[in-house]
Amino acid sequence: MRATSGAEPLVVENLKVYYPLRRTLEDLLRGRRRYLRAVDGVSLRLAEKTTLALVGESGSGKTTIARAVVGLVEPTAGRILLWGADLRTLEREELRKVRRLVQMVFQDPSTSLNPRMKVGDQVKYPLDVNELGPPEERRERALEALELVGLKPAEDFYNRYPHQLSGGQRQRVAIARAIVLRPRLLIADEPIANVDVSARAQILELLRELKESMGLSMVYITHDLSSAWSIADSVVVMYLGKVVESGGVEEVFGEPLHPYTRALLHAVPAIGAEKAAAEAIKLKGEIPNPLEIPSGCRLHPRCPFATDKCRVEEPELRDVGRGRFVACHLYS
Amino acid sequence: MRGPRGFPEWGLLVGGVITAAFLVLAVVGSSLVGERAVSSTVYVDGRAYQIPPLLPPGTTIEVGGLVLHFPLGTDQLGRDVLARVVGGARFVLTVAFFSTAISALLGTLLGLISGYIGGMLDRALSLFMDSLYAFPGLILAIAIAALLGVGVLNISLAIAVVYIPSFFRMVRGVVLSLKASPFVEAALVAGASSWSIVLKHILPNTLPQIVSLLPVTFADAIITEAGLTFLGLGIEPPTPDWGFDLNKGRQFFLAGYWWIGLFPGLMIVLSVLGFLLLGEALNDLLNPRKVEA
Amino acid sequence: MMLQVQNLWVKYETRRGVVEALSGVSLSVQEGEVLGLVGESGSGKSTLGLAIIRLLPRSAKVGGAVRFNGRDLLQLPEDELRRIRGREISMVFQDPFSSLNPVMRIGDHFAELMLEHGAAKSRDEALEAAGNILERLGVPRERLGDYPHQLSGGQRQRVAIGLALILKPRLVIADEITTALDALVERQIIDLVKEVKKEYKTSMLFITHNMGLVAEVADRVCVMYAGKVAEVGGVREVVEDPRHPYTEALLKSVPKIGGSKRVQPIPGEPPDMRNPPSGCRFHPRCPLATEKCRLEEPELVNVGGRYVACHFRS
Repeated sequence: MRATSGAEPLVVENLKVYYPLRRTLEDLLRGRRRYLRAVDGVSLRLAEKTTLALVGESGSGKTTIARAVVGLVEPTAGRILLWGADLRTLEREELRKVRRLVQMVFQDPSTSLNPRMKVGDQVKYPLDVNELGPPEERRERALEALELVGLKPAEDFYNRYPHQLSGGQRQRVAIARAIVLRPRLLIADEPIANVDVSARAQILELLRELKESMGLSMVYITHDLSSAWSIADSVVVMYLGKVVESGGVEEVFGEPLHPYTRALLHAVPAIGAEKAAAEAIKLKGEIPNPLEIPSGCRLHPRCPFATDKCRVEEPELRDVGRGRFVACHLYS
Repeated sequence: MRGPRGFPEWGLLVGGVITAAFLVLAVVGSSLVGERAVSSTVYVDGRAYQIPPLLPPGTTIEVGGLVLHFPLGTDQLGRDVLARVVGGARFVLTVAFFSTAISALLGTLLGLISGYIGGMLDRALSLFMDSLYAFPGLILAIAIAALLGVGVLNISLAIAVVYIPSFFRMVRGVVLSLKASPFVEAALVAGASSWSIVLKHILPNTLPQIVSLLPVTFADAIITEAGLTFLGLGIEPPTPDWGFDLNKGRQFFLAGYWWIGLFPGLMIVLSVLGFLLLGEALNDLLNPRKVEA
Repeated sequence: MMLQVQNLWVKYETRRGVVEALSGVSLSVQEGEVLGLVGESGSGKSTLGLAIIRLLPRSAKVGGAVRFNGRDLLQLPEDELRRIRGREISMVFQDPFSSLNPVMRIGDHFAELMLEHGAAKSRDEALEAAGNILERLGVPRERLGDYPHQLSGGQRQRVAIGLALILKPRLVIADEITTALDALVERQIIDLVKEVKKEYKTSMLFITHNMGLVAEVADRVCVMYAGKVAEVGGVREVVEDPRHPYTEALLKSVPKIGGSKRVQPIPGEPPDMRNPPSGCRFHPRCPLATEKCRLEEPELVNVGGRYVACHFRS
């Protein structure tokens, strides 16, 4: 494998994912091609054995980035490097080996499991598909994975079907399925969003434990800042396909720089402590139609600090020291 | 064990009983009635006697010392109507079975391939199937049966063609929606091949729909078969067959001999009813539409 | 006391058995107060909301009493209920898309509602009032001519709130009204609800699974678990000093930005409502549970203004 050991598990360089739209009559007449620019030039780095939270609302592109990393969607431009290896340069066999090291936990456990397959067989499936080890051993490994995620007695759970399990248990199965191949990078796409409140903490702690015990690096995608705070080391905040701010999670959440980040933090419902009125920042309106991305800085129609420059010029993601990056004219 | 509650369970019970009865009939019926369904000759002590034709239901006659009962009468050739009605089950149900099986297998296979691969293949096949579907079933079957000739296999094939599009469309629809589902994506991320995904993930999830379509197709096939044999296609006399007998009976109906056609007709209705009930009930049970709180 | 729920129980018959969604729930809502109803799925909170306004599916069996202005809503005939629904008690649902009729313009929704209840004598009058309330809620008046799909999620939810308020009801039931919304829009709607609360002084039953939201919006909170009430009290008090072990565990299981990163999960699984645990329904997951908890269901006891259903904490 051409990957260098010690290299960062994941590096994304100027990733763009554009979806071509069906041409309307107007498009044909005007001779244009329209695209949904889901990810529009995103770069990020994940340090080994750390968790990066990819935070944003709908249309931010966070899920699309995840899908591009695991290979479910083809990048339109840009590079994805897994342990230093550019995926586009790898041969088929090598690509398969690298891909095995990156696995994903999907958002909704009620649709990410095959309703007609035993839970244990679904955990075993990745081993079958990759023909790893003799068949008898595969069942053992599947049972092991079930135990690791807390579904004990594993023998019992192995034979159950998804509809016989609670939402939290199903998500554990999904996690077991993701770790059975002993990946080194785990992409968790909103793993607690569709799970009951009392199971959320269980899943969060499980992910934390597995990360420790398996030495995983993790990308944690969410719209919920509280869980990002809990589990992540670094955070990348996204809006309409671009990164607006990134850095260590304590720094970014403690001293948010970008107006969007500040608004997001202010939006979190607070128990008890009153938030300082000075920090309160509200954005007007709602997320615009992703097909009609505003000019200049994408946030400008909603931003209380917008100037003429913001309307015209897109801010670059700048290094402002201490590992922090912001894309805002306030800081250039 | 509690009794049946609601339509699905009653339907399953009644439909199941009727269907089972007909299946038994199909298997053992012919052997039970033997020659009486095809011949009007009875042998007693080596001497041949002809059974009189057009005997009304309930007649009992004595032939060469043998007492014979005809609860449903005899037809225009002196054959026992009851025997023909019971014996007819085998041909009809065998044809219905084969045509359903063939159409289900072919339709499913093509639907899986077309739906999963997509692209031009899918467009071409869908167009073809849609045109086939648009064709009136019976006419299509007649055309193909006329081409192929008589025999169980030929008529089964002719009828199968009529139902292939139904299975194709249904399976293709399910495949299209499953293709996009997260558990298929999860399989892709794990490195599964298309083959594995289709076999292990997609096919099992199309089974409930396929199974619920089977009895309805079976019932429809019975009617189509009766239609074909009514017109004299696909069958070689003296094989007992409900559709064929219905036709013959029609001719004698006006003359007052109602029993020749009525009983085969009743059998068609009853068998179709049984399969439809079973099918509807199965559909309700396997694909519940009511949302549970 | 404007609304008093007495010993309400609701049972559903499903193919796999009888589900008791609510088992003897009693609570009250005062004039002008916001009562938060907190619980996870299976707690029965949504069922409670629907039961009060009698919008449960026909297969549901209901018992107990729901006293509103002295009358028991559960006993009222349908035509009287129709007069109450929308006018005296209204509801806002979780999904802003499906609670509006996709083939009716926004204005038509208001017109139909107001004319039906005799709150406007003409369509023009209704639309005038509708425009006013929409503006008040932050939606431009021109939207009256639009269809629901032309509005954003946040705008649709504001319209739903407008429809719920326009007849100046005495009670609004809000069932997870921000769950389907993005974070910033959720903040806008919550702030809107706070403003509306001050201005209209309508009572509200605010149903949610999010303790943080309840803390911001409600005056009192009722915590539910497995179809029963676990704890009721002033929202500040309950949040700062939870008495019921479930409330306590729930609060500790949610991460707070700026606080500790680790969370304490509640062990075990939510109960199967076809076969809920014996005795205290929380006992399989409770750190304090003893044999008594397994055998005997605790009563909801008044402890100095706070109601707690626990053998140890009451």
